[in-house]
Parts: sequence; C-alpha cells; structure tokens
Amino acid sequence: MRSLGALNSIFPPERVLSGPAQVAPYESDALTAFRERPLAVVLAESQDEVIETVRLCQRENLPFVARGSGTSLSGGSLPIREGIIIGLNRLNRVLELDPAERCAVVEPGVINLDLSALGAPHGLYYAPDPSSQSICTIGGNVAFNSGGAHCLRHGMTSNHVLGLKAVLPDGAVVELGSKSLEGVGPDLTGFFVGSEGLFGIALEITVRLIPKPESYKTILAAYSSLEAAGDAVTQVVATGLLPGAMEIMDHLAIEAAEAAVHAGYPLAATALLIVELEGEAAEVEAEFQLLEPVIQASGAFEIRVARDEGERLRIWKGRKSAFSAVGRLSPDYIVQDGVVPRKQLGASLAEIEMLGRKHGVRVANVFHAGDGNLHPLILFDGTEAGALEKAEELAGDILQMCIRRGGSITGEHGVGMEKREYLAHMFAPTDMEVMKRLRRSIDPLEIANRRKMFPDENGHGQVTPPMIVRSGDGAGTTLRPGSFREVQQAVADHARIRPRGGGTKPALSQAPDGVASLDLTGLSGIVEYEPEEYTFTALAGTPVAEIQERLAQEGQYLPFDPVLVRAGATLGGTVAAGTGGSGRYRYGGIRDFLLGIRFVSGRAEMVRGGSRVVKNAAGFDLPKLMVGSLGRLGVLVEMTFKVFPLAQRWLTLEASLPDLSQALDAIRRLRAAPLDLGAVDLEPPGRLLVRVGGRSESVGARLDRVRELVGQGVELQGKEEQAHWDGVREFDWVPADWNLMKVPTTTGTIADLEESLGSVPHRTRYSAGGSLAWLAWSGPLDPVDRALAHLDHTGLVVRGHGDVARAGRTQDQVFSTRIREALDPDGRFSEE
Amino acid sequence: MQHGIDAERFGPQGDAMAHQVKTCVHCGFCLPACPTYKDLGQEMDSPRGRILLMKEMLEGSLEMEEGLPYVDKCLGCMACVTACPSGVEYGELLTPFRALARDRVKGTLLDRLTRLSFRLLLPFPRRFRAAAYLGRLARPFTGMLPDQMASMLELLPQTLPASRPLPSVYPAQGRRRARVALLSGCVQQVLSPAINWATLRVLARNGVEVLVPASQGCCGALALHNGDADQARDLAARNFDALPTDVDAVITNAAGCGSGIKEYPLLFRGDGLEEEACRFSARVQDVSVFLDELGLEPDPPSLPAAMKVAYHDACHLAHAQGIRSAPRKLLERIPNLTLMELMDGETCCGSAGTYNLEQPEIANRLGANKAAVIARLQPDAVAAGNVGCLMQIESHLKRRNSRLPVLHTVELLDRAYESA
Repeated sequence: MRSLGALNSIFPPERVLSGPAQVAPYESDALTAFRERPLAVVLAESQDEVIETVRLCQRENLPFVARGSGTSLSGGSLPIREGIIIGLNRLNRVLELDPAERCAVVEPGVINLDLSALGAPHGLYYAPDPSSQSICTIGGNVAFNSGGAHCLRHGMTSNHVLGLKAVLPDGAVVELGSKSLEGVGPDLTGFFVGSEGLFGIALEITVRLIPKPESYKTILAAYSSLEAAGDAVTQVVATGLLPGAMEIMDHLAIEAAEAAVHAGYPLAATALLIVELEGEAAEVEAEFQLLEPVIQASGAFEIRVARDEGERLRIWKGRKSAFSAVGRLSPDYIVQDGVVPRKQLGASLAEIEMLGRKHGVRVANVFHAGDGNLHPLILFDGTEAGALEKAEELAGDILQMCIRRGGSITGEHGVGMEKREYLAHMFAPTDMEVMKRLRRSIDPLEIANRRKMFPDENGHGQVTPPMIVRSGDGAGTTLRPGSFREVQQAVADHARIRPRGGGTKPALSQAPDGVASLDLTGLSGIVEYEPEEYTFTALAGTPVAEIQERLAQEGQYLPFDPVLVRAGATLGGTVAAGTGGSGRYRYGGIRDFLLGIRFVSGRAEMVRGGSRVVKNAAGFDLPKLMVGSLGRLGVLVEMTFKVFPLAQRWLTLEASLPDLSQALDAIRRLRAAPLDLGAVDLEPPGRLLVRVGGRSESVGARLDRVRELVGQGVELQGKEEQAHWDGVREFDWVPADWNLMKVPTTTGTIADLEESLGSVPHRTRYSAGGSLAWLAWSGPLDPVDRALAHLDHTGLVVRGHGDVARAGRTQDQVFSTRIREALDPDGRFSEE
Repeated sequence: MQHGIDAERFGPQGDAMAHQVKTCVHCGFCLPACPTYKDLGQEMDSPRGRILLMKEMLEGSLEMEEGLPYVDKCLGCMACVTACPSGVEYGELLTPFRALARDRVKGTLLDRLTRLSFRLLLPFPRRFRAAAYLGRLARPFTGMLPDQMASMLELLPQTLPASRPLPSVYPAQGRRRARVALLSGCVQQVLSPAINWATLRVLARNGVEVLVPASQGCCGALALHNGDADQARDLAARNFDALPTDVDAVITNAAGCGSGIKEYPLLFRGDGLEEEACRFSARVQDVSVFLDELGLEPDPPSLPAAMKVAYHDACHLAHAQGIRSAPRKLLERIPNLTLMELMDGETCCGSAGTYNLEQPEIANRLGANKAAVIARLQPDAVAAGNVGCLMQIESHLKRRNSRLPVLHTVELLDRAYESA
C-alpha cells in the first residue's frame, strides 16, 4: 500500500480512514443495493489537499471517488474497492457572497439548502431543490446535475451554475465560466455539470442566486384515479400557465409521506396533484384566477390551497420525504428516474402498473408531472429469494419503456452504477463511443469515478465506421449538403472546413482561404413540434424566423430571445455562436433551453447528445458543449429545444436617467426586488428599458412597480413596444459599417468598461440586466481588445475584422483542448 | 437495508434491533439533524453510519472493539428519529445494543471506573450527595485529573443546595382536581432540589394532590442509557411497587426519566414483569403534558417583571417523547412572559445524560454552541424541561461570563404563582 502511505503525507492521520469500522459506513450512498468498501477514505479540508490527492492518484494509478454527503440514488458515489474515497463534506467554505451580482462562490461541501439560507438576508435563494436538499452537497449536485420539484420553471443544477474551478483527473486545475450569465466559447461549465465525477472534482462553484418569489399559491388537489390527476396536468399546461412545480403522488406514496411528516394530505385520495404558482403577487393572483376553474373542472374531489407559509412548507416536506418514507412500506426499494413525454404520462403509468402486476411487484409512484419525470418506487424485500432480481427486471422494463416512448432513462438522479447498463440502450454505439473518447481524453487512466455511467464492457452493437477520409483540401469550395449523410461526407472529404448558416455573423462563419465552406441552409425545417410538451426539433439550417412564427401560432416562444432573426439567422448558427438576446434575462439563455443535438464530429461521425424531453441527465451534456462552440467542435445538424408559453401581454418602461451611475443604481434596485422581469436593458449613459410580460390584467400594475423603483419613465406598448425590441434584436442601432461584439459582463463592471473604452468610437447596449454587452465600434480591434483584457473580459466578434473572433482575456485552454482532441483530432474545424 | 442479523441470538430485544436496521434506507436525511455528525463530519459519527456499524457488529462481521467507540460517541438525543422519514426508531436499536456491548467489551480501566462510579453513585441521592461534596473538595486538583473526571467536577455547582426532604403528601389547594404521584428522581434531588418543590407548589396551586412515596428510587434511565440494562431493570422494578396505582398519573419533571420510562416495555420484553412495566410506563407523564392537559387554573399571574424567555427543547422531551408544544403553551400563559425560539433549537446542548462526563470534548463544543446561540438571542432567562440540560447550559453560559437564569419550566410557573 505504497499509495496509502503517501496519503499520510497529505493528511493528518485522523483524516485518513482505513480501519474496518471507518470504511464500512462509506460502503453505500442512498442506494444500498450496491456496496463496496474502499481502501481508504480521506477527508479533505482544503482545495490543495484535493488537488494533491488527485495528483497522487494519477501518479499511482489509484482510482478515486469524490463524495459529498452520500445521498446519490443512482449509486453515483459508490466506492471502488481498489481505490479511495475523497470526502468533500468538510470542504465547505463560502468563499464569496455577491448579492449585487446575485451569485455566490462556494466549495463543493456546502449543503444545497445552506445556499438559500446564505441568500435569504438579501431576498435571494438557490432554486434547484432536490428532495435531499437539507443534506446533499452542491458538489454532488454539480456532478449529477440534480433536479428537484421546481425544475419545471427553473431548470436543473446546470442552469444555476455560472462557473467552476475544478481539478481534472490528471491533476490540472481549470477555471471555467465566470459570474456573468453569458459566456463566450463552448459552454464548458455546462458540459462539466452532470459528468458524474468522470471529469474530476469541482473545487469552487459559482452559483446563481435568484430573488425569492414574492408570492406562492400552492394547490393540493385529490383525485380518485392517477389518470385523472395526469389529465389535470395536461389541462393546466393547455392554459399557457407556467407553474413553479407540478407534482403527483399515488396512494402508497401519500400514505407513507403522511405517516412520516403529517403534511395533512387527504388519505382517501388515489392520486394527489400539487400545483404551485409563484412570482409577483399580482401575477400569481391573476394566474390563480385562471388555474382554479381548471382544477375545479378536472374532477378533483377535494381542493385545498395552502393558507400560509407553514402549510406550504408542510406540503413540500411531505413530498420531499416521500422516497425515504416509503421505507415504512417496504424494507427495500429501487427509485426509478425515467422521463417520458408529458402527454404519455397516463399511458406510462398504466404500463408501469401492468408491468408491476406482471412481475408481482408493488410500485409506488411519486413524480414531477410537469416534466414527465417519473419516480416509480419498486418495493421489495431483499430477504425473499429472488425478490431483488424481480425488482431489477421490472426496473429494466420501465427504463426500456421510457426509451421506447422517446424519453430518458434518468431525469435528475444520473446514470451512476444503477443505470449504466441502460445508457447504451438510449444512445447509439457511435454516441457511446464519442462519450467514452471524451472521457478518455480527459482521464486517460479512467481513475475518476471508474465504473460509473459506462458499462464495464461495451457489448452493445457496432460502432459505425468513420467515413473514409479523402485527401482533397477543397479550398475555396462551398458545399451545400441536403442530408445528414452529405454533411458527414463533406466533413470527411475536407481537411479544413467551416460551417455556415445564414451568414448573419460573418466574423464567425466566413471560411478563410484554404478552408471549405459548409453551407447548412439546405438542411431546413421543423422535424417535430409538440406544443403540449414544450419541445420542438428542427434542422440546423432552419431560419429562426420560421420557428418563431410557428411557435407563436401555439402561443409559445423561444425564451432565450435569439438575435438577427429578420436578418436571416438560422437555428444552428444561433446555437453555435451562442447569441441570445435581451429576453434571456427572464428564464435563461440558449444553454438553458437546448435539450438535444445531433452533430457531425471531426471524424465525420454522426453523434447524438441529450434527448428530446424537457428533463434529462443521461450521459455527458453534449448540447451544452455545442452552445458557443462556433462550429469548431462539430457541425450541428439538428436540435431539440424547450420552449415556454408566451406572455399574454408585454409592456415596456422607457426611462432616461441623468447619468450612468444613476442608471446602474436603478438596475441594482430592480435586480434586488422580487420582480419577474422580461428584460432590463441599458443604453449608456442613462436610457433604461425594462420589459414586463404576463397576464393582461396584471402587467399594468407590475409595470407601475417598476416605474416606482426606477423613479420615472414612460410606458411603451403594442406595436411601438414590439418594434423597439425588434430593433434591439436586429441591431438596427448599429451603424452598417461598424463592427459588433458580444461581451459577457456583470452589472458591477459596466462603469469600468465604459470608461476604458474611452476614446474608441463606440456604442454599447447592456442587455439582460447587465449580463450581456453588445459593443459596436468603428476602427481597429486593438484598443477594444486591450480594454477588455485589462478588465479580464472576453469578447466575441460577430461582425468585423478578418479572422479574429475573440478579443480580451484568453479563456481556458486545457479542458477545451482535450475536448477538441476527442471530437476533432485532425483539426478540420480548427481556427488556425 | 438488508442485514444478516440472527435476531434470536440477542434475546428478547433482538427482533427490535433487527427491525430498526431493516427499516433504515440509508437516505442520509438524519445527517443534518445529528449533532455529532455536524461536529465531527464523518459517516461513522452519523446515525445511518452507526446503524450500519451496529448491524455489522450484530452480524459478527465487525469486532465490537472496532465499532463501539463510534457508537459510544452517540448522544442518544434522538434528533435522528425526528428527522427520519422512513420511521426508524433508533433508540430501539441503540439502547439494547449498548446493553449488549457492555456485557462483551471491557473498555479501559478509566472507562470502567467511570461507569462503576455512575452505577454506584448517581442513582442514590445520599451517596451522590456525599460524593459531590467530596468532589467539590477535589476541585483544586481538576487540572491533574483525566478529562472525564475533570468534567465531572466542573459540572458540580459551587455550593450544593440544602437538602430538604420532600413531604409524603402535598395537599391540593382549593378544589381537588386530580391526584398524582411524583417521581422525585435521583441526581436532580441533589443538584437542583428546587425543581421538585416548584413542581409540588404549581401542582397544588392547580388543585392537584401530590403523593411522594419515600420508598421510591431512581427510575433507572441513566443506567439504561448507559447500557446497564440489569441495573435499570432492578431500579425500575423497585418503583413498580413503590409508586401507587390509584392516582391519575405518575409525574416526572425530568425529560431523561420520562423517556427512559417510555422504554420500559422494550427493556422488560420477555421478562416476567413485562406487563407491569407496560402499565407503569403508560401511567407516567411529564409534568408539562399533565398540566397542559389538565388546564392551568387559576391563570398564572404576571411575573414581578416582564421576561423574555428562550425555551430550549430538551432532546428527551422533544425528540424522544415528541413533547414540544405543551411546555411552550404553559409558559405562554404567563401574561408578561415572551417566548423566544432558539436558532437550531432542536440540537442537543451536549448534556445527554452522562454524555458530558464520558465525551467531554464533544459535549463541551455542543454546550458552547448552545450558549453562543442563547447569548446572541439575548433573553432574560432560559427554560428547559430537564435538569441535565439546565446544568449544562448554565455551566457554559458561565464560561461566557453570563449569569442568565436557567430554569425549569415549572420553576417559571412557580415564580408567577408565587408573585401574586
């Protein structure tokens, strides 16, 4: 045990646990079906200790498993017999709380719920709320992209992590992302989140904190059948409301949860639906007026609305205790986490019931109905011969059903140990091969969380052989493929190739000399649109305008607010450039709405990542990696998006404040208030535009509140209002021959940026509450580049000079290089 | 959780232990509630970790000597029981396990000496009083003693309160509304006899006649929680005879005694006295619950001066017996008393029976935390329903140079009634 001895040079003896009584309690996480004892457990108290330990593991080829509180339901932190556990629960310092930028920087051992406690004095909270939030750590949440009951509106962990410092399995330390909501280049932060510990250990995590909703309405509706409760969900969705959460529990789960926490659930119910509205008081009230009759008409035999915060918390405590409470009904159970398209909920539940009967196994159901995320709890008694096997068979059948119905094997618990045999059922052999290549490129020895996510042996199917690569350089040619196959062929045929969509961001898509141009506009059209699922799938060359028109017919929209729509931007180009607009302030950017992708790798493979359902935690998050990748990692050919219902009415307040500092103060006041704003834009020095969207009857009053906080302003509405934001999107405010750059910012750096741009002839527009600057300037890039570098900012040139796409600070090169080597080893898409 | 425990090997309590292991689903919801996990930050010192260790030891796959030190660090505060969604009655595993382990593991000479002294002294007020007197004389030498002994001495009050024997009958004032027997306790009688007197006066004022049979003794809770099941049974059995059955209730004012007595049915499982133990256990009520159910009459008058009182939930009331609202409701009946809630109020103060004597380091940190929370809240007094907590909190407040009064719930009621 040479390596264990070496651990003693990093840790004092009391923090290296290796006695039998010390390692035994670490043998399982919250999935006790798997048990394994590690050689040792080290309890890290500093980042350096973690880094040194990982480097030691690398030197000694010693596998390690990072562990927070050990609450994984997929066996994600199961130890490895020939390796060690790196315990991170004591690495739990809050490094920074920045209420003005609404974020915090914390170490991985910080408890999820403590983040909300941290933000509470500033009216902020951390939105992702796994049921184990009172004990699960943010590090574990990051590794497994944990979800929770409120994912429907707020998304999962990855939607709330802005930046990371991490140690890769080979000991390299990387910094990804920043405090800004926006980024430049591939979304590496998003790609790291949900990698199940295979990419290393997060040491510092920058999390978003958002204003705690001013008001909640929590409705409890009791039904005499699961189907009726499921139908009620469909009816709520049809109203165009976007509740914070929609949950269903069946009779067994109600009984168990009620016994555990006395939440006051109606015990006579066969199914219980919880719908929670949240937001500004006026909006919630207006939404409730719309929701109540729908629930009344849905066949509920009892409807209750939480009277106060205490009752609301009890309702949620019951729901969040449900998994563990099922321990009262059965000594053993397997919690499933499959996802199906929402409209198939009823049929899926019926099938689960049928499957349960077939196998003679009891199943309790608790699920995130709004997301189609099922949690069948398969009950068994492990002491009965063959019971575990029967339960596992049923679990397998349920996962197969989810895949067959176009869903996912995991919505939020991750693949871990439990579902690794099924990942290859959800993804094609080539997809699996590419994910494994990414893993090996980042961790050649496979020492980080070995045996998780991927099955030990890949016995499933044949990897499609890569295209025969031809030698022709194809310089100066333009190709316009009409099929995926032709895209693959084009990539295979050319040593250097650059994808192009509508050409609205020429600095990013123009092929330099000696590089073939790949025009994707021949791949156009909506493949599938399911308004009731809030999802659509379209080909990469589809004009965004076409999509918006189609969505609007169904009262839906793209919440990330794509730009250059009228100019002809395509969906693929928008994702590759990562260009969302002012409206991303409300619900998030492209990264937050892209669910699935297909792309052609530099080895001409056709690769699929993500899924077509709104919630998915299976495999690496390749969709996020493609956001902002500029076509340098692969050629996007198809994408699946999440969409949201469109506001019934929009109003905008236009205010002209005397100077920049007063305008910034107004933005700070707006950001600190519990308001649900559609956009907050600043045109320096003092022109402020604040957009509010929602129910017709409440937006007026809500805009008055905005005016009160800003101190002045006139109201824009109707066509005039629309025209203003169209003009913003299309950059009508930028003189035709000027250059244009996207710069991720924070509210706090705006004044500095304005000052350092000083004498450069420029116009800026700060969008999304100060997270995103559009900088238009005239003349050479150099002075702008210097100004950005000075402020540690990075910019992305979308219209402008020559070959330089990026300006300012150079970002991570370590993590991204390894990723590029896995996806494009020959440099077909490279910039050099 | 799966286990391979051969329950029959472990006597009448074997099934209960195995059942609790089976009920645990290892979800970890108990971790944030556990004072030792929060303090020590490792799985072995968490409830689910201990359940696993006890399982391994019961299965025989882990040596007692290996696992027991971690089980010993458990306060037995039962905060995990409150937190557990799947319904593990942790005490039904811990208490019998401790008894089992005591029989099999000798421990160090010091451990054995400490335990022997508990066994011979604590349950017997006269012996304890004499020992406490001697202990005070030994105080100048605290620095020379092992930690466990030193902390025993530190907890002793500066002066022992005068011993005044309790009357065998304390008559009700006015119309008699009920008749009860008082369990006068052991340690509390020596260290804080005022609590029993306050209990008598408050009960009497509320029309309750109180019998205090002289032949009663220690209820055995301390012994039980220390794994000395035999002594616990002996002591308990004595009280079955000593305390009358023709009363409305047997009243205890010590949370530790109350919770220990609630464990009699398991303690006596399979014993000839099982039925009697169950009946006795069912008759015992905490004084706060009894008074709350009876209804205070007359209304307590105001205290001489308005008071903000921080109520501390004794673990053996709140977690072990689920008694939270009754003492609060009683205190709120005092017109000029304002109740304050402590942050992290359901976390143990570190007293936990004799824990502060056996694991002084952890107990001291918990005590200091509790005193710090109290100091931040700035109440005029602290109330609790257990003598151990009162002493622990008082001792740690003193270390912060705070002379805040730390009182039993009935003492505050008594002050209100006496001020009229």
